[in-house]
Amino acid sequence: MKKQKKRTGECHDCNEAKELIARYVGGDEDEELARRVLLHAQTCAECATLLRSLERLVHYCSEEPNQEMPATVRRDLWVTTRREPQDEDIECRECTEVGGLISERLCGELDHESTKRLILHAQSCPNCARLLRALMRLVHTLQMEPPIEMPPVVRSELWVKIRCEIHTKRK
Amino acid sequence: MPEHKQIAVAPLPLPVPDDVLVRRVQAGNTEAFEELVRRYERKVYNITYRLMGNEQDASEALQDAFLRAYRFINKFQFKSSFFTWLYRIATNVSLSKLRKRDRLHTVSLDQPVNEAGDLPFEIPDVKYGPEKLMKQRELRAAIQKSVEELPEDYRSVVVLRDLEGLSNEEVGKVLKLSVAAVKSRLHRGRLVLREKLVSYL
Repeated sequence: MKKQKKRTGECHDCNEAKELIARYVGGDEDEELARRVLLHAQTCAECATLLRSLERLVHYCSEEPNQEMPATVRRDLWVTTRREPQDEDIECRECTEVGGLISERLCGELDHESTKRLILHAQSCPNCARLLRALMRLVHTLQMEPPIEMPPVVRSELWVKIRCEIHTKRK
Repeated sequence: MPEHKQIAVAPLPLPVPDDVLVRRVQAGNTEAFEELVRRYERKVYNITYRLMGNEQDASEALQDAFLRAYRFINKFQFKSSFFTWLYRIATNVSLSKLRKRDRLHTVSLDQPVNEAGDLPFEIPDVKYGPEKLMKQRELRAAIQKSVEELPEDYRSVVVLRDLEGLSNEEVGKVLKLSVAAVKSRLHRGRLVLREKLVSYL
């Protein structure tokens, strides 16, 4: 549990950093960008590894285009890309705990504190906000669905059967 | 001072509780059973229709459900409400017929014939213009189709909870599931429906 919390925190903090790393490695020469990337990499081992492996990959691609990718570059890239989840995964991972609240909210069984927590989360997480909105609309639509009218012929057939059954039982 | 005339208003008779009617049926009173049928025929028809998807199958399931309830009412032990017991019978009958129908791959003549999938017995509401009415019909057809396409486990929970308005506890009693299982299936079912009805929401 502790491990997951720590990891979730890191991913959340690194979300923006990863975008900056991509821009930095991609050739953006903005000094402020470089400063922020390097500063973050000093405090975050995961982003430092990602930065190193991407720099090596870019270097390899630009300098030796016809060579086979060295095993170390491939391994680093594989490890970092496998270890680093995609944006949606990150959100899902952060949302796992809060996600259960959506179901409770739709059942009308969420207490005040949890409702507040869910709303706060939805304000910072577009995925969860979209999901919550869509599910609320769905449930409302289903609950507003008018009942299906029973056709007179269905009713009369039912009563014929029932009276027949009652009559048979009486006999 | 003018005298106020006291107008005696007779209180409306309270409906006889289901339990009392069931005891009467168990004692041989057939009229009590007819009262139970009148009380629940529309609700049960809605459940069978939502699960089966067409009038003919829903009608057969409706009849079977009430006939079974009548035949086995002496075994009803008042451990649950009568209606949850009746809804369980209706759900089981419908799902069992559905499995048989799926094995035979028959197509009912009552199934919608056009793409829009008009539902039978639509009663036009005058407050809606033709365009809005058309959209309402489309939405209703899409909901019914999407519900029919849900996996069986999710379908019965969604029908009873969202379309028939039962509580989680009641759905649990009807389907013999824990409340946690109801919630879980309901959430998954809603997620599937959300995908299917995305263009309408």
